[in-house]
Amino acid sequence: MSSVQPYVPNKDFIYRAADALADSHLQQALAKAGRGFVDKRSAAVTRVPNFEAMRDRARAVRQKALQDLDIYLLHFEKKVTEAGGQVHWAETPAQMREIVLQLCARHSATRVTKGKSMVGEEVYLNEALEKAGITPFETDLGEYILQLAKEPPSHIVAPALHKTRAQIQDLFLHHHALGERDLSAVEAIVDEARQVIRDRFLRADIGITGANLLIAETGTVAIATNEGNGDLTATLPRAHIVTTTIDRVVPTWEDASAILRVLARSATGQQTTTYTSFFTGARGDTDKDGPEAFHVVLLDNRRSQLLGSEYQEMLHCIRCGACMNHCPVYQAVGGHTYDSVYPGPMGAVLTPLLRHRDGDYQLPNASTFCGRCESVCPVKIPLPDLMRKLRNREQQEARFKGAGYWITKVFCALAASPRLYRALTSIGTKLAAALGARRGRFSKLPLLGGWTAHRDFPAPQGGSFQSQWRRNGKAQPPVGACPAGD
Amino acid sequence: MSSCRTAILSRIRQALNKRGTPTDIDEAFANLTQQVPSPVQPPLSAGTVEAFSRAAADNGAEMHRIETLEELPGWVATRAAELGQTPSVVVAPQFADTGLQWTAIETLDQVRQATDWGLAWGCAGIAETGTVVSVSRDCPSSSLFLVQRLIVVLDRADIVAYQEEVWDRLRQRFSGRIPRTVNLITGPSRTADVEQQIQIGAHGPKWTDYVIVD
Ligand code: SF4
Repeated sequence: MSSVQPYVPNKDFIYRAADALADSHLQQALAKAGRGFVDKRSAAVTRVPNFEAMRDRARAVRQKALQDLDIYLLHFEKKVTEAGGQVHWAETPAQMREIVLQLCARHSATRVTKGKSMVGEEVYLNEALEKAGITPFETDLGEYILQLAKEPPSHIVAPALHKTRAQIQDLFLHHHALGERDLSAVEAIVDEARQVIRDRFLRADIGITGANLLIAETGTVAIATNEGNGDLTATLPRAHIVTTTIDRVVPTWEDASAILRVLARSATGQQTTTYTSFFTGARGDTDKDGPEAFHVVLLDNRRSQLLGSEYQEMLHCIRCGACMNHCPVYQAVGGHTYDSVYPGPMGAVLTPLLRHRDGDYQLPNASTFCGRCESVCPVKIPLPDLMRKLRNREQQEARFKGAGYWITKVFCALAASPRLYRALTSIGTKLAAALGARRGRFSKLPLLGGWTAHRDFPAPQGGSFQSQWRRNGKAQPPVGACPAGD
Repeated sequence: MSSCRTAILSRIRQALNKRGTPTDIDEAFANLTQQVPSPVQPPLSAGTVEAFSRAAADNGAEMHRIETLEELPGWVATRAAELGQTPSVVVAPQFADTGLQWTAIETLDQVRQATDWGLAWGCAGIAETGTVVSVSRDCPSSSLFLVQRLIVVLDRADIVAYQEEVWDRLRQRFSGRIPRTVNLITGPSRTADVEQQIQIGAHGPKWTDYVIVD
């Protein structure tokens, strides 16, 4: 039977990463996910000849939206109100939770269905609802699996990416009292979820969803999904609450199109998601269905502080997940290692900026700076650059400077003085060459245990690069010389 | 929490170096959105209707064509027989004024059970992605999702090349308040939440038929 121990992460990234690497279930799940997302995205973007132009347009839309964010938010609010809805503003996660709980009380809700909302995860909404005696039913299959497993999501698009089919099967057998049955096929698992969750849709008092976009022009909330759960959550209950953030707004429907064109292609490699739904206000007199009440709760949670700062571009993010799908660190250790609702490269930037928790600066440090995230980001966010800025900020804010700081300081001083640098590296190289001359490599080295635990370190042969360069001259580059790069 | 609203908006204005709020927000919005840049759209692989059919089929919809709307009841009955089923069909209210006779099949006003079929009349088709569009003033949104097989009828003339043309149509048709729900649907519902394996038929319909009326 599956374990339903609540998930308690270690405080240190390095230990969480080690645990992740040793977790055979996780490694199996990550291997299965493998190149799936990467290949699908690549096929989707090569199918259109002007994907680069689409990216530029999407980026321009995000820039424009932020440039006059105040006007767009006010217009959005006005239009929602005209359409019979209400906009609520929350500065902090606690305020968002409080607003949602008040709304639940106002609508006498005891049963709530939920569509996938990363903002809901960001503010720990389920925990707050449960504490208030309200049962939140997750309806997105991935989120539902995690609700049974009592685990947080590990990916912003595919929340249960870290779960294997066998683990999901065990969870269903344990939690659904449906007798003996064969759940070995994916189809059987999905069918069972469909059956179990259907009744919850029909009996819910309130539906809570997230939003992919807010359209200022008409006060419209747009949601892109594949399962159809978001629509049933938004449409069937008496009230629809949208938990979202101030940076989701775009000016017009045309602007929404520009984002939607790059979103699905980057996220799942689809031209478009199966369902793209636009919700405006409450049910009107001539609407055939829809909720009687419509509420949009806008969360800030330090986003407004990023505006006008060197991190503003992070607010361009459209939450497609491409950066994590292409990240070698994410691919190796999975999303839980980041210990944040926002994992991967986008999370490595967002988490320290939004959460400010001890240890959050470890995240931008857990990157190889290979640059794949930036190269696939549909809105061209310079993620490595933002991580670099955060590393700097960490050093500036640090009260106690660690070894890394002093090593970098010494290196900077050396690098700024070429003569000293040459002299020291030349001595170092000669010394290392002499010590390693017999075997041509080292199996152990001080401070490099992480390297030598897995492979030998080659002993230098024939002087430092610079001395070889001086000897051989520019005409004959030394064998194996690398192209320029940082 | 009006103090939150004030605090958030003033932080935004400060960050953007703005002095105050414009008195007329509609006017301010109109000024900012006056210039509409020409959209960046993927080229179509064929003429509009053909491209629509190809993209819809690529995304899992089954494509059909009939000559006139009068053929529809017969077509639905034949389709059910072909599939060896005797479904109850939830017929969208839009068909009420058409005078169509549904003698060969059982019709319903709302979804009764999970095996029901649904029949809707889309207000537009989008060739770019093979998408059909339905609005909650025409058809209850829930019946597009609660049925097992969704049949969407489309007038050939309502198939447009790109999303933006649908937005223009919506603005023209609903100049005041747009419908509570605008649904864009592209094929059957699906999930890839179990080991990234695509499984058709999540919470919405397992099958979709698009019927173009010539
Ligand atoms: S940072 Fe870019 S790639 Fe990553 S989720 Fe956001 S939009 Fe997608």
